[in-house]
Amino acid sequence: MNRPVLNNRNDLAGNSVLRVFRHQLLARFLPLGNYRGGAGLKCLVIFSVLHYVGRPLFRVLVRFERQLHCLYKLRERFSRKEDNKDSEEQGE
Amino acid sequence: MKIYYSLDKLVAEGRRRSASLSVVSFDLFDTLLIRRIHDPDLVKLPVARYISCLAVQAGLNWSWNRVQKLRDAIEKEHRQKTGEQFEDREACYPRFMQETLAAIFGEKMAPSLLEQVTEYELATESTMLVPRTEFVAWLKELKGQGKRIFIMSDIYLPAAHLERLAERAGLMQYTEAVASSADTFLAKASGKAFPLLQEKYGLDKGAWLHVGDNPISDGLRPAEFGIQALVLHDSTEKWRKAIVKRYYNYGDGRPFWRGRCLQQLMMPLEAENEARHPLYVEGYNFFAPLIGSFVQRIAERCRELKIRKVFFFSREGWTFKKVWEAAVPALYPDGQLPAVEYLYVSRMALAGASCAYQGLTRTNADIAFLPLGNSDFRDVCRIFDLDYGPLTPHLQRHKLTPETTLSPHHAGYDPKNRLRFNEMLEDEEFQAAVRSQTRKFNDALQRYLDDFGFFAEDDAALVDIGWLGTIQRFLYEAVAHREDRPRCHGFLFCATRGIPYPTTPDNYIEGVLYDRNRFDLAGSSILYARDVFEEACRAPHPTLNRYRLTETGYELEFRRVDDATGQAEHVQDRHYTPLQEGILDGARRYGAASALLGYSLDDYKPWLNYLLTSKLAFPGTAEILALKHRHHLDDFHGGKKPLPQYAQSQQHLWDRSESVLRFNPLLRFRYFLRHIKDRLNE
Repeated sequence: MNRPVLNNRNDLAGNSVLRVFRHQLLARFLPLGNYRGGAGLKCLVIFSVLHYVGRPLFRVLVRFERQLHCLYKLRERFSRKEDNKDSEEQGE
Repeated sequence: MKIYYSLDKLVAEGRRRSASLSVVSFDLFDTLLIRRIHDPDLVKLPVARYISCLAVQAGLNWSWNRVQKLRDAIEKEHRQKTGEQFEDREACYPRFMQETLAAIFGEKMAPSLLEQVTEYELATESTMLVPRTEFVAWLKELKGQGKRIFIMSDIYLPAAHLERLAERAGLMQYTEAVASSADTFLAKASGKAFPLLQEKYGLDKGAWLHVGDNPISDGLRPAEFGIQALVLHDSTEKWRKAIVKRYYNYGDGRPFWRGRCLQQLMMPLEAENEARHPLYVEGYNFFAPLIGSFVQRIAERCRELKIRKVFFFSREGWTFKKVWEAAVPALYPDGQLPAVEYLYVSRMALAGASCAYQGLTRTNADIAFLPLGNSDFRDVCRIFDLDYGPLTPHLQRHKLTPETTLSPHHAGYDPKNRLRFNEMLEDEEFQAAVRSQTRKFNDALQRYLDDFGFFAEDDAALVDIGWLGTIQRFLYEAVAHREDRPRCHGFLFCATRGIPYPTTPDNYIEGVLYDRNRFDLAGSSILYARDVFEEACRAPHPTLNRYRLTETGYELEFRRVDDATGQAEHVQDRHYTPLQEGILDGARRYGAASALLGYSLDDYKPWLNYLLTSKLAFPGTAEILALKHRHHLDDFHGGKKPLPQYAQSQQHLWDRSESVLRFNPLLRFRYFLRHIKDRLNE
């Protein structure tokens, strides 16, 4: 049956993020090849959420974009402060 | 002003309102056109790389990072200066780019350089832009209703450049004019662009609707001026961009995602993303990135080695050459690329020609007995285009007949006969007879190669799919006697090296995606389905049987197409037509996406390793059934049946039946363990 190259989850047809997830789990038990550090569990979880729940999630989030933007700014400021603190502790 | 979170709802409202309107203006970027990439500034990076290449050609040492830094600094300076006179801090591309180029090239700057760089920037930008289907349909309707349509944008590109982008996207046929803040420094952001447009075109603001994506520039400002405004906050677009952004950013720290990011940028969007044949999808999503990175690597190597000509070997080279033509010019816009040529060759046609000066070597005879279907001297003669009648006295002298089994894979094999055969290969009289029989093929081959400029180059890149490099081996042996032979740099999609290649600095092979000389477990997954790759890349013409001398020169003799095998190949060609379409469409997008990312094969390799292992070693049953070729011609392979134990040992995962594939849960796992064992034993 015909299908588009990019599916409705914004994922590759025939090579979804869940397939990558399964494959990377298998790679933990069986030497499958060199993936130069692999996909990373956190990235895999984020991509799985984005591809599978992203559409309804963004439908909600887009309405609170301004408020979220303030939160992102706040987070950035805190992470920058922590970075500066680390640098000072390391004497940089 | 009204904000819409869905494009459909916005267009429906626009249609409702447009009945009473005479003017509709649209924002261009992220409204009429969407970008494949999340950050528009990323388009500047390939331009910086391009300028850096041009600078190097002009003998100037400018890294692309330095070029980019300079461009940013000059653009910032221009914006500050504009801000002193105008409310909007705008910049104009031709002005700041002219200044950037002048600072880099100085006196070496050619008059056409700005136009050259501008053309490249617009072309790169254009590859990243896609018109939104719903808006295009609405534009068509508005045009049909006689409405006046304008495009307005706050950007550093002047209107003339935006017109070129809109033209390439097919929007100019509906548009009366394009207005850019770069021309007047009066932007939508301050609201000054609207009265300017009204004055210039005599527009009635009471019958004017503006559509855009920025709540201030496209919503508040036009509303303040008295224009109706619709603002799009498209959640689907934001979702898509959030995905691209993460693939791009995660690729920085985790090389695994670089290839995945490449594929996300290659994806067709909007109207491009129509339902396709399953094989087209496989061609686009699986074969295209593999072959694209293969040709990108060859181009890189050619530039390093200063090779000026690439010969793609038939028949798989047909697809490689097309992929090269579709992808490589975008990757190296400075034009420093070798010329490409498609060469009609085959193992069968070259095997005979290779014996004309050196005779039949033992290694070449061993190659003939590699396929399980070859068993005796008749098979050797078939492959090397020898007539065994005149050679029978030589066989008799060594107590052999044409029917004597010489392959250990067949019944009746006696090692003594193989020893006698090897002794015959050392017999000068036999070799003289072989040389005399094959000389005419070699002469015809040399004329053919002469015609294609093969001997005119000092270095030639020879590209083939694999596997042992037999075609290059035979070709080099056929021309090894000539002083003017080029150095042959062989690039194989996959080098299995079943028989060691006689490597010298003048003649070597290099496996690009997989080379047995490097331990690469994931890359070796290609060995699961070599025939699938051969068929996927094969040219739609029959194989070459021999080069024939004629009175006027030479003639290429192709295999007949009217017999059962020829017809089967034709069926196979038709079966894989959508697959090849997918590969070529994917290759076009590969060039643009890879040029934007600036990555090379080494960056993509972890993802390609995943693709190979996942698709070839752990494929779904439906994938095997869909992808598996229907027919595969191998003229090198004889028709004789080997002993059962050898025949059974050749059954691969991709040859198993549907029921076994579907219901044997550990089948792929067992095959892969065997695969690991084989690779470790190699």
